[in-house]
Amino acid sequence: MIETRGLSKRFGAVTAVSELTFTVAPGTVTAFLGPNGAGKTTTMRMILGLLTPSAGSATINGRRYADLRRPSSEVGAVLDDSGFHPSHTAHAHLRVYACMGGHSRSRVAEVMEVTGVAAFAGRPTRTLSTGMRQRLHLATALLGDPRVLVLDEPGNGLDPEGIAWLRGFLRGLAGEGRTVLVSSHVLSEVEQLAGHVVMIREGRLVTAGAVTGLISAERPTLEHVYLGLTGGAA
Amino acid sequence: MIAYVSAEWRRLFASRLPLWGLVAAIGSGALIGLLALVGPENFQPPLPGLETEIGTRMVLGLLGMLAFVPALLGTTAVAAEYRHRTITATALFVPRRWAALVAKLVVYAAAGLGYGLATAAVAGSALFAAAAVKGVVLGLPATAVLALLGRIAVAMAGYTLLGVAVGALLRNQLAALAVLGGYFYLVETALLALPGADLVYPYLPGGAAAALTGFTYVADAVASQTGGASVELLPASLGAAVLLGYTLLAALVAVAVPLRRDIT
Ligand SMILES: Nc1ncnc2c1ncn2[C@@H]1O[C@H](COP(=O)(O)OP(=O)(O)OP(=O)(O)O)[C@@H](O)[C@H]1O
Ligand SMILES: [Mg+2]
Repeated sequence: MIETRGLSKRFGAVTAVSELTFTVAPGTVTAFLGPNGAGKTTTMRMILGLLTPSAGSATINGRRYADLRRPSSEVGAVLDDSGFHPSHTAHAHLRVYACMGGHSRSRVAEVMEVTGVAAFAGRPTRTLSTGMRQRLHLATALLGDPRVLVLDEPGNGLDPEGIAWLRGFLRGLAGEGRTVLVSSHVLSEVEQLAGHVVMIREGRLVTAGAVTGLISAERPTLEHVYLGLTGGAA
Repeated sequence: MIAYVSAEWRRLFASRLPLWGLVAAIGSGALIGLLALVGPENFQPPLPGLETEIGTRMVLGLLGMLAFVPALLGTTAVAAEYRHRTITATALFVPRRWAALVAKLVVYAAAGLGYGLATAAVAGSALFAAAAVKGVVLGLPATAVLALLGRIAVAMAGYTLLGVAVGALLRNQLAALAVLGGYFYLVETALLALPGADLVYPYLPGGAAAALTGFTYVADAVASQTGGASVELLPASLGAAVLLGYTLLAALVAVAVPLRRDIT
């Protein structure tokens, strides 16, 4: 369960996120939608304790990220700007963070298997393709077998097979009762993936709720809903 | 904390930095061997030879001058977390940022000491070998030479921590390297030319390290050029204490400052 209350962030004169209040419940994938620059990444970084909110709060299972006892066992995250040491192999990268989070060697092998990282485990990260890097980020997030996942555009760079795999994988995780928040711009994909959406625009909440409740006869697809609500042409 | 330390250790040794460190350590040591072989009596200007105490101290002191090399390696390692954006994952796994940095400081203190010992071992062997080849007896007893080498190794560990702290504070690898290199090579030496510098210099990192390693060449050279009196360095033990103070201060600032900053 992720909750934000009046969450706001200003960068100098720019208000990136403003008075954002929403809840992400376990058991279904929640899609985080909004135009470029709407504040999705900023919101996720505040939830994860990487940015300090200018006002309001964000909690995970009732606690601020910084107050979690074993953060990597409770929350897994994929963020767009994170990277790898170029001369580390994919396996070495995972071992460093497994060590840091107190996760076992066998868990490293498991996440490499489920994410497909095993296929390129011995390669230096500087030689990895975008999709391979994305899989390695996901593997890192899964090391602690967390109950909550916060993923910023995790499908970026994945091939069609990878996207289909990710969809099934995330739905499976949510089906096990985990909390999954995923930002995306690919609405056709979101329609197949998510049960709930949180939609923001210019840092403010536009709508939040079950996908089935948002779709109607006049707005038969998520794209219609999105364009209607975020002010794009329908 | 043990988990963080072993993770940082693993991070360091999974990269190629230790290899470069080893190359630099052997290179520094070998350079000293070469200088000893050439002999201070053949330097420009000529200096007392290896058979004198001054000559032997001089050659060892040049090794102390190379203490900034592990500082650069420490800076490189820490700033690399920002450059390669692994800092995001690290902050997610260890939200208490001071804890992550303390783990780094522990690891780099050990690595810096290892670097210093490797350098000292190579330099020491090369020095004794050079003396044997030239058929001279070193101007210092072997125990004194070993003690000096040990102090240089300790100074190198201290400098490594200074480098780590600067890297953590500045985050930008090039800027951190420029600041560190510029400080040790230009600023401190330039400061010596100012009136009254002789009072301050012993308490600056370079002056303290010079006291620890018994190397006064820079101070003496500046004094002779400006016609000033030569700088009186602190006793070695006090120099070590001052250097330790700087290291702790840098570490404290490096641990405290990032706490309030956003990771962007
Ligand atoms: N570190 C920063 N300094 C200044 N402004 C920032 C910073 N980070 C984000 N912003 C601004 O905050 C706003 C929200 O950015 P954010 O990255 O959260 O949007 P987003 O919804 O993730 O966009 P996208 O869909 O393109 O990823 C933008 O106007 C952006 O320019
Ligand atoms: Mg974004």
